[in-house]
Amino acid sequence: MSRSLAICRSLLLVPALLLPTLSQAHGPTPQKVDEEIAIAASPDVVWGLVGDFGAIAAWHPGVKEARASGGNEAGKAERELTLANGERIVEGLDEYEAEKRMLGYRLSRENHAAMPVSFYSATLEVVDDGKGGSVVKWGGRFYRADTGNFPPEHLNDAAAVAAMTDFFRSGLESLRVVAEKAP
Amino acid sequence: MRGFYPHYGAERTCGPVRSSSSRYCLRALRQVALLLLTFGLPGVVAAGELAWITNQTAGTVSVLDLDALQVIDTVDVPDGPAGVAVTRDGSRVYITHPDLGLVSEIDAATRKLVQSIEVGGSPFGIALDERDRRLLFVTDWSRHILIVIDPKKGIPLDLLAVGQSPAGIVVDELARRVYIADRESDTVTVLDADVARGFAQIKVGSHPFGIAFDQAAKRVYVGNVRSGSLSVIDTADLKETAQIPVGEFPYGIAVGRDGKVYVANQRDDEIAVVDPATASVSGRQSVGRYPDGVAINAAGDRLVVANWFDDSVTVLSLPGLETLARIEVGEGCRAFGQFIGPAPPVP
Repeated sequence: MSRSLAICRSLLLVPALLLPTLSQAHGPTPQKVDEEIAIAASPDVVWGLVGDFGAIAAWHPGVKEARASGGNEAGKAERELTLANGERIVEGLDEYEAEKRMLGYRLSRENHAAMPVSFYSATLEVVDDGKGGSVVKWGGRFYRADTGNFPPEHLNDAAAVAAMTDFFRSGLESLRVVAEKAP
Repeated sequence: MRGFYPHYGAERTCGPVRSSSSRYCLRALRQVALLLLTFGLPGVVAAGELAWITNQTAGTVSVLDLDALQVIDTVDVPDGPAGVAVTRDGSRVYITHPDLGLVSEIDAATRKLVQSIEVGGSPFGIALDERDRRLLFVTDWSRHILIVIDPKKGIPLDLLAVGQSPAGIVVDELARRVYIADRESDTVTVLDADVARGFAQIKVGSHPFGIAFDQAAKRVYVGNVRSGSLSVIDTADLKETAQIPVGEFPYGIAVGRDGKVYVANQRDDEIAVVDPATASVSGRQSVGRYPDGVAINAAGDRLVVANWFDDSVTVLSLPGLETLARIEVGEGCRAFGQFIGPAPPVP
């Protein structure tokens, strides 16, 4: 416990207030992605594809390669994704509920060149549509890459929303094609 | 020490300044007209308590009547409102805007923006000190400081160093201490509420964010987002006495009148009830998706939680945890802070 806290008593207010700041941490303004798709394949078939945390490259066109460890154990499993642009990110599995066909994960190593976000958490769930098919819901909460108050265009909220929405949507569309072709 | 550092509570002043009597009458008339417009009928008794929900994406504040369980107004504010604090008398609401470096003030009676105070940086968590004159304590996420603001003068009085990316903040008005959750340095910084002096930096779990204070139990509770735990801090010796596992991504925290701690577990879409006596979770209740800010009313029988993903709030009864209502609010609701107050007296 430190009793001697540095006190910045002599900050000149005006210059300090006008300086843009860059933080390595994610900022306080979360953004949302919320996508879903109907698939003419049984929930078990769809979960067979998405329920293997490390096997995302088998159905997501934006993932060239996934190197996984820890299986599907929440709190342990990780996957390092090489995206279409050759850049890598690492995601960690937080929740895994096979009975509910639901998993939750987070970004554990950011890379703005791969994805212009500083952090995200996301949930993917396969819901029985009651008619033999499935609805897959994939949503998440994330923060732009540059969490300062003056982000350049390629690192701002709009860039983050566009990238995440595209990743989720293209993944779901491809998942539908793969699942509907499955035996 | 006291002579050298500024003494924030030195001047004793009272609340809003009254205008001249004729202008006062005009304002009262306008207020009656507004009430008639809002409620349709004369003679409707003002609500008991209001919840002020910041909608960060929408750039608005939803005003929720906790008796009627409905939104009675939506206040336009500058972009990105996140943190919120309501005065004890319910007359004023203060809002942080992290993206704009602003702290704004709403007159709760007219539900209009009164002023926006430029403070710079990323003002986020906010707490009020109303023991002597009114002060605002605001955490600055990106500059890693505490901003002390005099809302009457509309200026920051001081900037004080704290831990990395400070988020939640509470004030112990009697013991004159300020507690701040430093999200990126895994600490709680304890400062003097009156002079620029630090008491301690207490190590807690990973990524502490929300914070709550229990005056009766003399404890501060902090939710550790990454550890999924609640740290218990004894305010007498400023030490962490326990770390209780609560669930995935604890965000908003509030203390009930029974001394139980209510935690919004953002990735579990639930409120977890923590019993500090047994250091364990004694109940759980599902709410909307990605619950964020939580507050409990003065009577202690209502809990309000902002469901960030669903753009709604859930109102639960206490201690029964029965879902009384699910009410639509604005996009990206956060309600980070003590956002419930008495309905303001009609001027």
